[in-house]
Amino acid sequence: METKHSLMKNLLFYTDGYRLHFVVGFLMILLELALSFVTPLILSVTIDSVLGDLPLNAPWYFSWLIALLGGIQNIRHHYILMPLLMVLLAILSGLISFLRPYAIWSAVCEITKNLRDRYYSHVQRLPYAFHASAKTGDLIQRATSDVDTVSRFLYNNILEIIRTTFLLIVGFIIMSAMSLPITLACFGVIPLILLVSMRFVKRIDVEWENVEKMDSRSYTVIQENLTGVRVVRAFGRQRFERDKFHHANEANRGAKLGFYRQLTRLWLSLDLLSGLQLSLVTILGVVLTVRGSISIGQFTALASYAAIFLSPIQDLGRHLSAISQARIAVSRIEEIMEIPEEDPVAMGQRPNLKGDIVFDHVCFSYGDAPVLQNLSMTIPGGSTVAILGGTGSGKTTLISLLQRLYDPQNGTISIGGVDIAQMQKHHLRDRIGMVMQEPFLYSRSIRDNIGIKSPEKNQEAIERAAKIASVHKDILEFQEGYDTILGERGVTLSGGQKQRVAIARAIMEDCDILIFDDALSAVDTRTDHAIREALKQRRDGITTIIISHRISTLREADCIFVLSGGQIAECGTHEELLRSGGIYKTVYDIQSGSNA
Amino acid sequence: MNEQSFDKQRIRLSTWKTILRHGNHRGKLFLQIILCGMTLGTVRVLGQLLNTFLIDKFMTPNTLSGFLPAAIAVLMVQILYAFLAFGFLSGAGKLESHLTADVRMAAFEKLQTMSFSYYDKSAVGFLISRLTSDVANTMDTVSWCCVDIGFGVMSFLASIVGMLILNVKLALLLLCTVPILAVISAVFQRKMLRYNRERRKLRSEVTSAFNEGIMGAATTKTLVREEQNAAEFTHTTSRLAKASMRAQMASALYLPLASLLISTATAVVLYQGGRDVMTGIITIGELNFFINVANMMFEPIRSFAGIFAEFQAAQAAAERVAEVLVAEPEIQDTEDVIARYGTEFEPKQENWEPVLGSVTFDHVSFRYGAEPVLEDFSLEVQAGQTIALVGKTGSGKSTIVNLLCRFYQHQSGRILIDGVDIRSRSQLWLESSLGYVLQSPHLFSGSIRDNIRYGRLNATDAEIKSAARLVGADSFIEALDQGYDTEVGEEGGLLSTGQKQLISFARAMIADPKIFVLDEATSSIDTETEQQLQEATKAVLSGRTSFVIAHRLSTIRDADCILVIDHGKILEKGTHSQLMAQRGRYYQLCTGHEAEGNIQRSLNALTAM
Repeated sequence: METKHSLMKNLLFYTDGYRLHFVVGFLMILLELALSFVTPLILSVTIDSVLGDLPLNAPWYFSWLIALLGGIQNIRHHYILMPLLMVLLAILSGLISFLRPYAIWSAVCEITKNLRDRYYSHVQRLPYAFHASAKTGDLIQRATSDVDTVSRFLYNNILEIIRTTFLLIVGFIIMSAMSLPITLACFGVIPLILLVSMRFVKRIDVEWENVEKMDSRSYTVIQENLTGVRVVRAFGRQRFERDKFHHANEANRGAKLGFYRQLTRLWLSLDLLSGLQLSLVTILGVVLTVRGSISIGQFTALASYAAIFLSPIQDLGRHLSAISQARIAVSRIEEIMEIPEEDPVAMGQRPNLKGDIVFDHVCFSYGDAPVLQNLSMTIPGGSTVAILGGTGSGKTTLISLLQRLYDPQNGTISIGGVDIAQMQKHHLRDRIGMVMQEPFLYSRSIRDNIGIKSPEKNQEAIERAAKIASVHKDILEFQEGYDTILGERGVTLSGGQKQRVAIARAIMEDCDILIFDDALSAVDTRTDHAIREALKQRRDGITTIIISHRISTLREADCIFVLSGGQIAECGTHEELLRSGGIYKTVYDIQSGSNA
Repeated sequence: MNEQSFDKQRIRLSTWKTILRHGNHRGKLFLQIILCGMTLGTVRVLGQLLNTFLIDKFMTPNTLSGFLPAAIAVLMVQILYAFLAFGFLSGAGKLESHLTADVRMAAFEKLQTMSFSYYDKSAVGFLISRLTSDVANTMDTVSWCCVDIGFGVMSFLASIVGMLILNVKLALLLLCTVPILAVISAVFQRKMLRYNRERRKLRSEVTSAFNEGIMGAATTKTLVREEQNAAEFTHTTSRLAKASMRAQMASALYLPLASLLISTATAVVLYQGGRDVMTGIITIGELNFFINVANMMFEPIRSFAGIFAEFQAAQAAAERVAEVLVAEPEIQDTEDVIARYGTEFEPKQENWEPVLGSVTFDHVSFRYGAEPVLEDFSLEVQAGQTIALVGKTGSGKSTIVNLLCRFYQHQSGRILIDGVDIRSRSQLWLESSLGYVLQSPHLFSGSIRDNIRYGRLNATDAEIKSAARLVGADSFIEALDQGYDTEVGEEGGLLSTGQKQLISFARAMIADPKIFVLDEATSSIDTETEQQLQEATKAVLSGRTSFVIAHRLSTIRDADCILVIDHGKILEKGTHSQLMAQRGRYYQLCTGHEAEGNIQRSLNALTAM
């Protein structure tokens, strides 16, 4: 895959500040590797020169060790030195493998953490327009599995690739010094093993993707069946559902069997090749020993070495194929990191927002589609206004503009005479409370959700807000009451309950302007009325904007705006609008059933 | 079940047996795995014995006579090894695939028969995870641990037998270290598993934090919580980083410790074995054997400790799965009913009576738990009548229709359809005879056509079209690019609420039930759709016995009889004009006086704040 983000460049950037960790880690790996080649020599030398009477024939570093122990003659007299050396080497190599994670793993943990933090706070600061059109599943995948891929690459793949490379080089040098034919026999099979595993890795990936696809298909059937259990029963469709699941489940079973078929075939081929390698080394070893070109001790060492290579080489294919995965992952992360964040939100004025809200010839379009055309309206400070409009008439856009989630292409919006473009964005949004039609609640306790914006979080105030929003009873029905953590252990709220919790959240919020974006649909007329009255009573001077389709909700507003074709088509009180007989009157007639 | 306390969890074999009973006859695969594993363990030790033979019979005496058969044997052992490994690994893969699918199917079927009271008690998300991840976890544990056990037991035993044959003293020396390694392994495997669990849990916390940060980005902006969220997120990732480090440290301590112990044991063997070689008690080949086998013998001990820990960890998941498998539905058809009408999955439709449509509630009472919901409720409905149920949330109006559908079981009284007690016919007969449109329309992924056809599986395309036309859904469906073949997305997510409602009307329409239940939605939709829904409601209700939990004035007005329900009792009963004339609760509801009273009450409460 062609990408403009270089893997190396970005990895260097990510590892900035931790490179020394890696260098130390690599050195430790090298040392560990060296030790693993020394240990088999103990048995080898013991057999040949301590138990046998051959002269010492070992690589220089081992001869040096022997000299340190007083030479081979001394060891023959004090045989215990050899086992002691074995324990000593084991302690040394144990120490290194104990310390190695401190060097590398701790660095990788930090690097991964930093990468996640950076991505998260970046995404939080991206402009609203980005989020409005973003594919959330994809964004989350980049944050999770792509970051994991990078992390795994740093800790596992890179290290293994380097380790295996060193292993092969060092192994070749040491083995060929003992016996070239055996070395060649051993290394001759390695390219075959690599080739086979690289070939299979791709096929297995395809099979695995298939398993995941089938998993998610059968999970969807389960999910839809269980969430829709009332529909299933209402139509008596148990048998139909069973057959549907049976189908998905069998496909899932088949996919999994297929995956394991490929995987076990890979293992079989690798085992056969490795078996061939080991047999060649053994058979050749016996022949060469009998002919006298190597000793029995050397034979045992060579056989041990051949075994050391087995699993690193079998895995090498997997690690190599991870390079391209890591490259893709890095570029997917960096693609998001490149998108510019929202303009500085901390600059600008912080006025009081209790004054009149004035839209002055506001134009706005998404791309080529015009939404608001020269819209002008004035919402008197402290009043309650309602907005009625069909789907796509621009109601929600209006609200977004007021919060500067978008900026208008033309015209201005001012509050209390101050252009909102001059205000600090955070301040503006902070002073505007908002309940959306499909509100988002955080997965924390219900209490925290309701009190999220208010400094005082005492239970009494929270309960009172919940009562006003008529969600108190619902909350008490949960086992943990107000401490119920949303989203945990399958606890979910219905759409209506969510709206009412969000309303309670808004009631607790200290703000100048409060907006209900079609958010009162889940409560009945009475509650709806009570909520608004409660808000009015609690804080004076609060400007309330209500978007709704329901006449009973709209009718009580001080002023009703009817939005159509990106402009204000009608405005006035309930009675005025009924008299003038426009869109509002038509809607009223439909809802009161008088056209029936 | 607290997941964190799993390491104190006792493994209960009965739980596992319950689950495995639902894995249909996979005994052969179990046998294949165990046999292959055992042979494999033996072959591994034989391979080492072969090396001893090579050293002692050819290398030490320096002769190649008779080497050819030995060389062939070397090759054969390797080939045998590869195929045996293949046999038992592929057996485990198959076992896992089959067990997962079988148990999932059994649990799914069981859930289809459960009563609504069961669904009220268990959160759907929780049930879903039982069928998905819990089943996957337990079956994975069973299948792959089975491999490790078969292989481990045999390599261990074969090693011991081999050693004992060659030299008893050296064998005993090595065996001394086994208990120490076993203890260390048991302690660490538990620790490692716990840390890994903790890490996994934090990882999923981070994932859901991402999820939340991204899904809730708009809300976060309007609540101005970007910085707080980022700070909280950093806190979570820090905990994850620490937990990852801790998990890694546990294995970084365990592995060197175990291998140090093994090395020490090997060193002891080297010492004693070396002296025995000098005195001629054992051969060089035998010494080589002991040193290599020391390593092989310890592997199983390490993995046994791991298996035990894994079973402990999976115990909670296994119990959740078993609970679904053994659950009994609260409402069950009697033996006689099943004999005549069949089961959910094997109905005897030839015996089903057609429905005419009269409904009688005869002194029906219903308690939910200890709470009385409906008391001594009686009602007579003639075929073809429309009954509107009006009342506050929790007044019991939904209970009335739920009892009619037998979604819940009333404690006393009788409910009759066409003069016959609903309990003397099968639940499926009842469900198939009734139509039910719910407040929140639920669609299944698939095309619009598939969703409408859900109402009657053998409906033709033309019938589907005409049902859609009757409820006024035809025009919007035709306007879509793919028309009736448009995919509705998961749970209908690609359609608007109003569109979903219209489709669910069409779905009920095509079923053409004689008795119909409608739970009207309160959610506000735009005026045009609202009008369509009114028309659709009228179309669906005409000509059948209907019960409507009504919110629309137009629906209520058109009803033959309006019941005002309060605290499980009929407060008022009559037509719209009769009730308006009564000037009672219904009148108050319609004119909003009631509402005003409530507002005043909340205001009083509020001034006290």
